[in-house]
Amino acid sequence: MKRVLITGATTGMGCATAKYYYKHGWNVVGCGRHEEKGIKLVSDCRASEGKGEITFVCCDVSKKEDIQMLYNKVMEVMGGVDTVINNAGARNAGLLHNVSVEDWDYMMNVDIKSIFLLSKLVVPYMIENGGGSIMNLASISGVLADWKTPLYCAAKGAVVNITRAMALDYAKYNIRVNAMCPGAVNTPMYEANTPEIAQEYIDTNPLWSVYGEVCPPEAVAEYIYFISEKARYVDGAHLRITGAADVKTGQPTEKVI
Amino acid sequence: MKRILITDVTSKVGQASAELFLKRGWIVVGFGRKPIGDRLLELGIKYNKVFFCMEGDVSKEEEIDKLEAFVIECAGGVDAIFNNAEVALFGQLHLTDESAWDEIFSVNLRSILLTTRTFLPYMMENGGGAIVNNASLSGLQGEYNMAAYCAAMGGVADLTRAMALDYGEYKIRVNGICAGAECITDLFDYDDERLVLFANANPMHKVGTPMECAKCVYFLASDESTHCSGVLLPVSGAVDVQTGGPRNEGL
Repeated sequence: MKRVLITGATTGMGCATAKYYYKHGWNVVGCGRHEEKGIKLVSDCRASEGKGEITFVCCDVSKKEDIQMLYNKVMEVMGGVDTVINNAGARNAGLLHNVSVEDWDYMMNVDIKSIFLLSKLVVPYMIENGGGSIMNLASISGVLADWKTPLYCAAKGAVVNITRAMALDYAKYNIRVNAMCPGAVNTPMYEANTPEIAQEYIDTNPLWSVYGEVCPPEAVAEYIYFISEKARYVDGAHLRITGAADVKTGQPTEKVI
Repeated sequence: MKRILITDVTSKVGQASAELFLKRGWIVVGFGRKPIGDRLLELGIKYNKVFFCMEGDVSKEEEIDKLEAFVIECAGGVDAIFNNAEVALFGQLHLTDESAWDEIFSVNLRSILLTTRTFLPYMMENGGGAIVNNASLSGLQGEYNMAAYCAAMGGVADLTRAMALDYGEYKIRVNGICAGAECITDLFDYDDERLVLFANANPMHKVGTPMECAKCVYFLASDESTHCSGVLLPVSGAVDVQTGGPRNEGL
């Protein structure tokens, strides 16, 4: 049975991805900070038609000790890991000159340093085990920039580029490393927007305005699974799911007849 | 008369930039951890009323506070900042010490938070300015054996874009300089044999120089580029624009 670790598995894309892997018969360890949500994830999976296994580990990937504990649990429960999905992330808003150092340090710990610390543990295992797949949840906000969220952009920019460097270094060990770069996905992070902003994400998106919704987390889960498990020749890639919102210059040419 | 703050002024690109901006008539305030060498001392004598240097660590809040007082005393404010400070780091990610990671992120990326918090309000009050961030070529693409560095510089690159979006309305332009390693790292001396490898890999069959980088910093900080913002400008001889396939000599 193949084994996957998914961080931030209790909500949003992490949750959808955990369920997707479970459905496809994988042994899943999912982690998150909220015990009750973890219990629900496990019971939802077990009540579904999936053929996998699932264990929830309550931990906070912004804390180094928790990452070590998580890895130990993964080894204990699954005996190893074939795929790691670095999904845990945080986002906040505010102009850079108003950002506190505490907010900065927290965001960096959750979004990028957690990937470093977890890699220090899983990569040696994968090297010895003959390979693996690492999927980093970056964001289109790591490739281009959003308004008034400079800290998130900085952290996700780090995730995008560490993915390239990791892919170069670890290919020789048969470890592939890719980055998923979605636009707005229907998760608690999206729901934290005001209703007006949430609607604006839909209205301004070339394709998603036609669908009347932003991307469902299940669509990202499916893409993660495909790239991580099926697309063996894809490496160091940043995969965009954005509805074409990001491919424009930004000039208002749609208003010029 | 325009005023620029240059962090890590003692690095090769920092020194070249200080020299260039002084030559072009700017007031320059330099900051850095290392002692000022002969070249900067000579510049200090030649440009003694317009070149000021202070020793300090750009990653420490208290020292940035002291820098603020120094900048106000010497120059009354800033019109431009070259966030040049960086440490380079080689090594496999899984073998990188946490302390090394922390230092890279603190000096290369977090320091931009600190200089922005401190000096941007002056620029806003003063009706505008220009910030140039050192994103390095290794912030735009990956390198072998430099994952922690690529992570931090990737952060600088996209932070630069985000700052450009947010501060445009205050007439503050924010751009990035993305120089190849040979231009900027103080790890390679000019006669280092490894530079030959870099020259051979480069489409222009040469390595870049700190002054070539400094001229681009000048372009981005000055009125030569008043409608340029959010630019990540490679100074790389085109080495980074290849697909990565073989060089088809004689096809």
